Amino acid sequence: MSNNSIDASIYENLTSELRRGLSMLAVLSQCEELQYGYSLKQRLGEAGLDVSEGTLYPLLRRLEGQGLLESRWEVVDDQRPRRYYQLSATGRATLAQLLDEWKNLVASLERLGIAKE
Amino acid sequence: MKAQEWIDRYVFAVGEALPLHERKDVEAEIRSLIHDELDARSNGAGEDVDETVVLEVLQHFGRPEELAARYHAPRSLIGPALYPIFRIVSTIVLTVLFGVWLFGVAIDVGMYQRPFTNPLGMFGDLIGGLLQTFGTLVLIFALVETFLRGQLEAEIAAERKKEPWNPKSLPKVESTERPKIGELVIGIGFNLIAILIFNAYPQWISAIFVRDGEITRMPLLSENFAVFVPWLTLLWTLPIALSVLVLIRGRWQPLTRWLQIGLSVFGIAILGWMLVSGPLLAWEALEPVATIIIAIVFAVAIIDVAVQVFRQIRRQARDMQSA
Repeated sequence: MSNNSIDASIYENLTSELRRGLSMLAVLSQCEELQYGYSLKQRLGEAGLDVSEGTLYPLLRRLEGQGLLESRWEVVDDQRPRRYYQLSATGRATLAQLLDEWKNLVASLERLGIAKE
Repeated sequence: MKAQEWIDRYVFAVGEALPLHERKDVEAEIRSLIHDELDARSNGAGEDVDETVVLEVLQHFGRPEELAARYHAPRSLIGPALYPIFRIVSTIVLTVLFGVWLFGVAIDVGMYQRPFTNPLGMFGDLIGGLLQTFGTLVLIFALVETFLRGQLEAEIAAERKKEPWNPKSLPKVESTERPKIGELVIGIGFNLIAILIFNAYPQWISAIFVRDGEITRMPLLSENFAVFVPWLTLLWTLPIALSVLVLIRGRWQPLTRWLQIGLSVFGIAILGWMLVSGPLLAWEALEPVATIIIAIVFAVAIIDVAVQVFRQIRRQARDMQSA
């Protein structure tokens, strides 16, 4: 293997790390409205952010575990239960801070010549 | 195979890789999410959704153990990758340890008719031994988790890359029931109390009279009753072993259900023996009352065993149909 070739697993890990934080931010931002797992996945997908089922659904649970989201079960069409998520008060405050942080990061990247349009 | 069966297998496989306290909730959520995906793909075909579509959706959800690993807290003493192995090893080791202890007690009480001279000490030794062994196992696995996690994960990932996962490799859902932990723990507690009282403090089973300001204690049980004590001790000890096994495994299985039925039959045999071989009480006048009570318990126990057998056979027949 030459020094310039990309190790697929390293690349995969790097992109996954890069996307993890962004996915979290995107999920929190979309949960200002009541969402369930699939609707959220669809919404992110439509915006061009494809997050796999195996990543998104556990992420929702972790965010809930951290107190950023709240969830409740509701019965859909009188047939089966579905879990809905929404930002908690803490989540709302955290999201505002994270968005500020995001803007600062973008500004930094722009100054580095990375994120220029 | 029915499409629903694949969903059951997948949800079960994820649940098996999760700790008991998280299992039920995560399983319900995954089932709901799978149905959401299926509804979207099949335009609400509901139960009639095509098997191929289900397999495709499950493929997207990924390996059950990987999904379970993401649901689990990222920092843990024993992570989901090692947890199934830890559970198997600890079940085997603790069961063997308990079996050895039980064998010793059975030899002492059953064969040599030795009463417990120091029951608290004996149970203390058992619990201490079990805790020490369990602690050692946790420590070993925690060290493996801490120092070898990266290496193990890399090896597992490399192995998985060689062979893509296919949902069709999912094992059949075993006939399983989640145990009611509180019920089992209370049962263990009551059995321990019964063993302790009948072996160490039989004098407590007595009638107390106050006559002329003096307290008199009259034993309730006859001398003949002592013959039953070793057998009753065994009857109360074996369910403790069974409950511990069920708690460690986190579920009832056909074998443990049949063992439970076997223990009920053993109890009925002892009750029958008591009915025919009295007297059980020190007071002759009360003997008919004791006989009636035991006869009622005997009849109820027979009905209970019949119900247990019926339910178990029905459960297994259902499993065979779905296989």
